[in-house]
Amino acid sequence: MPDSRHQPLLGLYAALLHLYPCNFRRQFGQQMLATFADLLDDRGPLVASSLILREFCSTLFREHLDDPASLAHLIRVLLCPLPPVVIYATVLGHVRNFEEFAFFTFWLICILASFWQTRCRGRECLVRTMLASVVGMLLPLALINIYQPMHPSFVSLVAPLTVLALTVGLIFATCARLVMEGLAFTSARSTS
Amino acid sequence: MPSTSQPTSTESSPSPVEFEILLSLAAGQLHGYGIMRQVESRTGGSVRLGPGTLYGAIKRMTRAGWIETTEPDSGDDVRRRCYYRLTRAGRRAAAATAQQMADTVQIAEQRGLIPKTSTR
Repeated sequence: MPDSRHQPLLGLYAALLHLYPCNFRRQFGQQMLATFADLLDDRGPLVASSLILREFCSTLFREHLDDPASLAHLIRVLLCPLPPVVIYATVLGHVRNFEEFAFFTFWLICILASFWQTRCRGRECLVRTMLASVVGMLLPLALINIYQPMHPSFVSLVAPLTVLALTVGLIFATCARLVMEGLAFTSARSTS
Repeated sequence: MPSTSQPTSTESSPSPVEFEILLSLAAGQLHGYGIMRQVESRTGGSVRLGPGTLYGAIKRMTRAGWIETTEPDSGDDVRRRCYYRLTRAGRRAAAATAQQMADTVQIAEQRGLIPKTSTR
């Protein structure tokens, strides 16, 4: 019987297996888990974990490259956050102090979190990204305003900043949805 | 070289990891962890396969037609391991690679790079 002390590590490895391409996981996931359980029982958690750590990234990358469908999905996933990341990187070149850096970083994190949550799909992606953009823009400014009152006042900036944040959020979400859903829709039509 | 041990034009030669797995399976069918243990003990621990490397290689070797899977045993094996065995094509590919290695060793012996160990 599997050792119950190893259940957390087995659970962690089972979660890591989800990063492998779907087809590979479906074909070998159970066998890989069984082999890891054997390894844990036989060699202990230290040796088993070090073996996994040593090979995980390289085999993950190789399996994704080996699976064309998975590679296309991986490219789409990497393309989705590209517009906000590029704008963030451009803006970072012009920041003058830590407050500005924190402001833009928090805003980027909010946008990426909404992408992650919605998988860049559906109307939910539009709504959440726009909301995340507003929160990411206004919340740090409100906090900064507490310590260092702004001129012109924060209240007078809320309306234009909200419009700006909503617009930017809408553009990013639309781009992300086009990448994730638009291309998939096109390829599905061409294959049918 | 005898022509019977050459791979056919459609077969590629196995990578070092794949060759180690083919060698392990040449003695009989094994499950994944059995292959890992065999490879490690045969190489004195210098080759240690993790599950990702092992099953990635198994996937490619199955695709190449070198090994085949037996259904998981539903009996007393709670982990329902699959067993793997060599196909005829796999045995041929392993033999061809082994022959290439033997030829290389022979050349190395003739040129004095390694001492002559046995008579052929």
